[in-house]
Amino acid sequence: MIRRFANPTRFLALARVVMPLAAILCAFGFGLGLWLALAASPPDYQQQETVRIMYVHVPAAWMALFVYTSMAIAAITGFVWKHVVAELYAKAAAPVGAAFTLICLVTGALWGQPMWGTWWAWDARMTSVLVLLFLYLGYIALVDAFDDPQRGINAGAILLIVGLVNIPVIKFSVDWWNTLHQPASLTRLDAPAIDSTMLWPLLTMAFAFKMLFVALVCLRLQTEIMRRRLAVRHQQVAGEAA
Amino acid sequence: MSIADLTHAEYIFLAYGVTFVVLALVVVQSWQSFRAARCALQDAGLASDKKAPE
Repeated sequence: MIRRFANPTRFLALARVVMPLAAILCAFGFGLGLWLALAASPPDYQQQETVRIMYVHVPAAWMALFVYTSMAIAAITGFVWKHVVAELYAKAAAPVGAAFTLICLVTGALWGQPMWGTWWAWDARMTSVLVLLFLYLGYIALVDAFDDPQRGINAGAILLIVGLVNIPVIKFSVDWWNTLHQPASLTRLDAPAIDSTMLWPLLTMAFAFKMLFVALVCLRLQTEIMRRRLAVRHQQVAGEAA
Repeated sequence: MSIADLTHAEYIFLAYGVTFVVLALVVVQSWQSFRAARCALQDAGLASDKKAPE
């Protein structure tokens, strides 16, 4: 399976099918999710209407962690198996992951001000997510900082693998330290501590975010494959001229 | 009125506004990059949907 999609042409054929499907599911998910989040779901007894910010904040946070983890796995796959598409995946996914992290931080601040009375606190969860944003931005800067694109991808892969240590820190920061940020309410070993009237808008928005990511990564991977083909072509032309 | 005096509805509007503006910017940037790469490939005489040297 891993080997099968190492061939960019085979991957492009798959992406052309998956991308429009994901885009349609994303539009449907956002339509339903926004209706559930803004109209159908009730206000929280403590947070009141501000709980609606959670329906974009939490999916963005999940995606920020998921995208970074998938990029690090792709970097390892690229390193070990010399998988071309896996190498390009990390480069294609990074700006999307950075956008999700930025959304998570901004919407968190917009929720924190009315609920906690502060936009920001240097607690472990918020600080580690800020570090994640810097890791994304560092990767985006590093991967294009070399004349040889392969050197950029290799250097970026090392950063991704080293930065992977931040992921469990983000996930378990609310358990390991006494933070202002509340502990997990959904991803816990016992039943989720959230009512179904609020769970469904959250899951629907999370589905829409995921489908948007799939569609965008398919599009961006096609772009990266075309750029690589162009670079090969330029090298061939330069070789023929020399 | 300062930004700290906003109503709950205004905080929600800002949060959803920021979310969809950021996502829209990523979509537009991704699409423009795709179009630029496809045009460059076609200019170089390589159709984007045909097999090219890897």
